[in-house]
Parts: sequence; structure tokens; C-alpha cells
Amino acid sequence: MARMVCVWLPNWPLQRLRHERPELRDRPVVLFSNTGNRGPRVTATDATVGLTIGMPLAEAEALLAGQPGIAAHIERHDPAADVAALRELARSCNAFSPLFGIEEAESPECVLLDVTGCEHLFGSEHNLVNTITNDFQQRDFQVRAALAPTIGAAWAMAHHRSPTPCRSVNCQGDLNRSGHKGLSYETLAPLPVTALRLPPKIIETLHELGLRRIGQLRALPRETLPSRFGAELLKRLDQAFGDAPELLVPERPLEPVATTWVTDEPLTDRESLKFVVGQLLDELLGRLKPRREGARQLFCQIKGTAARPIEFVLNLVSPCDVAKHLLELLGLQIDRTDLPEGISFVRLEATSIASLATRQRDLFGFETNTDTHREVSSLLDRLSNRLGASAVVRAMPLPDPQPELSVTHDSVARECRVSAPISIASVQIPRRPTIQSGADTPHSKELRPIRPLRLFAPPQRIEATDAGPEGAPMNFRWDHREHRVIRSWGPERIETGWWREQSICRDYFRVETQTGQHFWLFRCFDQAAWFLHGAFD
Amino acid sequence: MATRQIIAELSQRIRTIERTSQRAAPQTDLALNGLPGLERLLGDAGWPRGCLVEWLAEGRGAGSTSLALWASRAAWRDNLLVMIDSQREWHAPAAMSFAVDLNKTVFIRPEQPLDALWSLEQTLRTRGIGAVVCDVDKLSSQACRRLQLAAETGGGLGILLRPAMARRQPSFAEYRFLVQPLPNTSDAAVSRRWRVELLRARRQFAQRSIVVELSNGSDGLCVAAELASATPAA
Repeated sequence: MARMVCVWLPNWPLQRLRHERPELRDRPVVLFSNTGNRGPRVTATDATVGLTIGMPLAEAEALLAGQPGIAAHIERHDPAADVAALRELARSCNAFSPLFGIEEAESPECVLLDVTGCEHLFGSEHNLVNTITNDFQQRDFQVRAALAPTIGAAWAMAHHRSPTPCRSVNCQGDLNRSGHKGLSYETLAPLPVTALRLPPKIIETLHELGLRRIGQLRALPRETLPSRFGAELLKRLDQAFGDAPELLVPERPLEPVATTWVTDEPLTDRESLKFVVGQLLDELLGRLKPRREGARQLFCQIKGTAARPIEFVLNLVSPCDVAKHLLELLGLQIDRTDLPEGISFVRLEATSIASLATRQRDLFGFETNTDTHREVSSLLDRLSNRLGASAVVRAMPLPDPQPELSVTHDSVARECRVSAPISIASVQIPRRPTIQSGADTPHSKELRPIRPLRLFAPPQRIEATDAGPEGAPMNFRWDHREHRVIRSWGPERIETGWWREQSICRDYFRVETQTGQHFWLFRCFDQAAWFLHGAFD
Repeated sequence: MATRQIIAELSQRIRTIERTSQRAAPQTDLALNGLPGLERLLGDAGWPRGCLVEWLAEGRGAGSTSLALWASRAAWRDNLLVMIDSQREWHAPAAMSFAVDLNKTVFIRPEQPLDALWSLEQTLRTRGIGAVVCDVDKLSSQACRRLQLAAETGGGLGILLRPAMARRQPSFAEYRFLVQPLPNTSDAAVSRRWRVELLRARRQFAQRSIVVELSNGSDGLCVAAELASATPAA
């Protein structure tokens, strides 16, 4: 049976701030952020003058101004830094378990450890939890920890059960109501429903119905729960009792591979800088070589006399250990940046490393020889790094009726890092995407869902002479030229529903002009105007 | 004395360059031409590997891109297709009608015209690229020569889509076609006719222009037939 420890750090954003800046320890702190367009709001605080979460910042400041004795610190909330610091904290738990991570939540506050099979190293489970708690407390963190067979139960007990900092729950061999070997029903039943990690909206509904304890929820017919409260409730309930699996996403311990160059004699020109970077790169790759690994992402920091260091990141399509290629890419970046004067510090770090064996994977699924593949990878690296990752993309059609939304572009560099190549089967020829077809004119039967090769984004507004309320225009003006329409096909109505933020209602026509050019025009009903959307080039 | 040496060296280099371009003349390794009728302009063959082909047309929507893609589609069957799209106009789902497999296609969207030319040259120089398609408005003969040499190195097909006014500019392209839309006879179906004129080729052939018709069949575009041979040799 699995044994999970949940270490809860209450008010983590405030704890983190105080840990980083000890001078704030004796002062109340107010964190705020801009949510939506309602102006800054308080997101976390421990000031005791009647401040609440979600209160406008101006109101909070007014309340604090009324208490001259309190010197509160007000700062913008940085959720990304909170998550990063919590991950860092999780990595420091390497001593207790090889598997550690953080909870998956919008603003996580818990470190999770899978301590299955580890307790004998600490004598008993009780000792293990005590040791973990003491370790955090010695580092000036306030924590509450609990051990249970599931992540959900450990979370629930860390938050709601233990009034003292540590409490281990041993319930091995108990049977729960569903007959599974798992957590005892009695342990979780008295806990409030908030212990189930549910969204506030569901909690509110449950409270309105007078359902306050987990035991009350378990007493309800199981099959009625999803339709009454959504699938989330049942999932969380099952996860807590061990009837549904929940994975701990483990943090990997970081092993930075970095080289640094510092000098008293500052560098003045680009060529010397490139030489230095070349030396650092050789050293870096020398360290990766015995591990048969290559760099997938390089981070370069250059400090001069200016206050801000120059930093850039190099992303690679596939892991690389060829110094010449990497140096060429770094050279491209160096040429593009305004270098500070008097460079005295250069740092090169391989922030993402991968095994070189994986480079055999062909991004495009060709059976090419490795040399050719390496050349193509190297080309994509060069293009991505000079033009930016968003400028080297692959296109993927989407089943959206609105032409400009019917395709998405994914950066080749990013795609290679996060996902497998798109399978050929997942791409389909777009079907006729109209929601509502146009009037059944003699021409519309021949109209195929052929889209123009060139699509102008956004559509260009044109001055057109209407032939009537329904047909294509007689002529229009575009690109400093008068175009006379001699033939037209359509209309094809493309209409999206009210649930879109900006719904559209357009009648598209394919028109042929007297010069033989084919264009794709539409009449926009909202604006009562004609637009040119593309050209059948 | 030094001047003579320099002149001797330069003439040696010119001879080397000339030899290179002779070697680059059409090879046996060909990608099939996909446009029935066009072989009358190309000889028996298809597209030689490692060359530039220019398609000229007047204005957007004249149809040169469709013809260029349709004619060269064999070039990217087993290799990567790169489309350089500085205007961000290419509509990828539409390209699928031209045997373009989006899984094997990379779109490059540079913001500066110079970057577009740089990307074109870099891509042409790379082995393993089937074809590169790029809109090129202005091109100096020096830049064109660089592109031609890059294509010879890489072995891919460089498809340059250019405005009609580029016909007055010199070129190092293997073929240069001018596409002119013709009035259509059939009124109901979406079909188009063009005159495709061969303005320039390294090897000359008797016939200089053909008429091509494309119509939208049930499974996308198809070439109806080569209708008539138009003009005599110019």
C-alpha cells in the first residue's frame, strides 16, 4: 500500500516572501494582483485590521492608513515565484524520499512525498513525519504534515485533522465502505467537505444543501453525485479514499551543467567574446560527453559594466553535442544583441539536457539518413534562433468554421521539446465547414469547400458596388485598382454562434475579375460592409 | 607582375565558376512534372534537382501559385517542403488540396525582407529539403546567383513566385514561366484557364507556351486537359 506525506505550508506566498526577505518578519504583509479589469485586489494578507481577500487595494490602503501603528508592507503578488520556490523546497526533500513533488493546484501550498517503503529508515512512520516537520521548522517554515495511504487523504488531514504540527495516520488493513483495502471510513468521515480539494463553487453548493462532512457525502447514492455536483466531486472523493488513482508528478533534481568565465581585463569586441563562448562551450560539452548527453537548451549570461546583464536562451530542435553548430547559433545571437561595454563575466549553462540517443527520432517521420536529418535539424535551429521560435512553425488544421481560426501554428522548436510528432492520421482534409449553407442558387451546388491559398489577416475592408441585397458585388476597389467582377460563385454562409466572444455572420463569394484574378469576398452583416478575405492565387 | 598574377587567378576562378554551372545543368535525377502539357515546354523531363524555377504573374489571385504547387508536387513527396511566408498569407488547409502534407511542411514567417532572403538561401543550401516556396519581389542578379548556387548544393527545388514586372530582370533560374489567366468558357463550374509561357530556359524547346485548365473536381483540383498549343516559337 502506498504511503504519502503531505506537507502543507499555510499562506505560502507570505511565508515565501518573509523567508526571502527576513526584514518583513515582524510586519504585516499585503499582496495584491490585477484580476480581470476590476483593478488591483488583495490576494493574500495577514494584517489584522479587517482586510479580506478580494478586497480592492485602495480600500485596504485606506484601512491601513487609519492604523498609523501598523507599518504594513504592500507588494504585487508573484504566483510564478511562489511555484518556483515551492518546487525548490520539494527538491530539498530528497533526503526523505526519492519521489517528491508539489500539489497540482492553481496556487499550490503543499509539498508531497511518496514515502512508500521509506519509514523503516526513520524507525517508524511517526518518526518520519516528525523528522520532516522538524526539518521544515528549522528552516523557519510553518508546516502541518500528515501521512496517509493516498494523496487526497494526506492533504485532507494535513489541512483539517491535526491541530499539532504532526500526525501520522496508520490504517493499514482497514476496509473502507467500498470494500477496498484503503483508508478507514472513520478517519475521513468527520472531516469537512473543504478537505476534498473542491472548487469554491461546489463547496458553496454543498454548504447550501447542508452537506458539511465527508461522511454525509459518502452516505448519498454514489451514482447521483456527478449529475448533482459535477464529475469533480466524485473524482476527489474517490481519490481521497483510494478508489481512484492519483499520480504524484515528481520533481526531478536539477543538476546544472554550467561554466563561467570571469576576468579582470574586460572584453571589448564581439570576436573575443565569441572566442570565450567557444571555450566555455567546449568545457560544457566535455562534461556532457561522458554522459552521452547533448544540450537541448542553452542559457547564456553576459555581464558588463551596465547594470542589467545580457541574457539569452538558445533552443534546439534536437539534443546536440556538436560544438561547431552550437557556436554558430550562439554567434547568431551574439551578433543580434547590443553588447554591454567592458564584458567581464560570461556564463553558459545547459538548462535542458537530453540523451543523444533520442536524436534519432525524426521530427517529420521520414526514413532519412542521419546526416540529412542532422542537416535539417541544424537548419531549423538556425532559423528558429535567428528569426525567433514563433517564426518557424508547422500548421495544423482545426475543425473551425471561421476561416481565420481554422488553422493553428505550432513552433517547431517548442513542439519538439514537449510532444511527439503529429501523426499523419490526425490531420484531415477540412470538410465543408459551413454551419448553415447558403441559398440554393444554381451555382452553389458546384461550390466545393475549397479555400483560397492566400488568406489575408485581418480581412481587408473594400469599397464595393452592390448588385443587390443578396448577390456578389459588381465591382470593387482594392490594391489601388478597380476590379470588375465578371463571374461569381456563392454565397456560402459562414456563421458562428452567440457563444463566441465575437460571433460572425458572413456571406462568402468567390469572384472572378475581368483580369482573370479569383478573389474571396464576404459581406459582413454586422458592419454592412464588404471585405476581401483571400485570393485564389 | 602582381597585376598579371591577379588577372591569371581571376580568369582561373571564372573558368571554375563556369564549370560549376555546366555541371549543374539538368541531371538525370528528376522530380516528375505534375502538370500535363507542361512537358512540351520542359522536354521529356520533369524538374531537375537543385535548381530555381520562377513563376511570374500579374497581381494576387492570378493563379500562379496553384500552378506552381500543382506542377512541382512530386518534389516534396519524400522530403520536407518549406514555405517562406513573410506576409503571413499562406492558408495551410488550402495548400492540402495541392498534395501538401502539413506534417512534412514547415512554414517560415520572417518579419524583415532581408530575413526572408536569408531563410531562402539557408533552406536551399540544406540537403533533405524537397522544395522551398517563396514570394520574391525584388532580386538582384547577385542574390539570384547565390540562390542558384545554394540550390545546387542542397539539391532541392526552389520555387520563386514573382510579380510579372520581374520579367525584365536578369535571372539565374533554370526556368522562368509567365502565367496569364484566360477568359473562361464554361460558366457553371469553378474552372480556370491560363496561358503558361516559358520566358526563359537554359535549354530551348520548340514550343514556348501552352494553355492549361484546372477545374475543381469532387476530390479537389484536377487538370482537365492541355487544350491547345498556343503560340509558335518566339
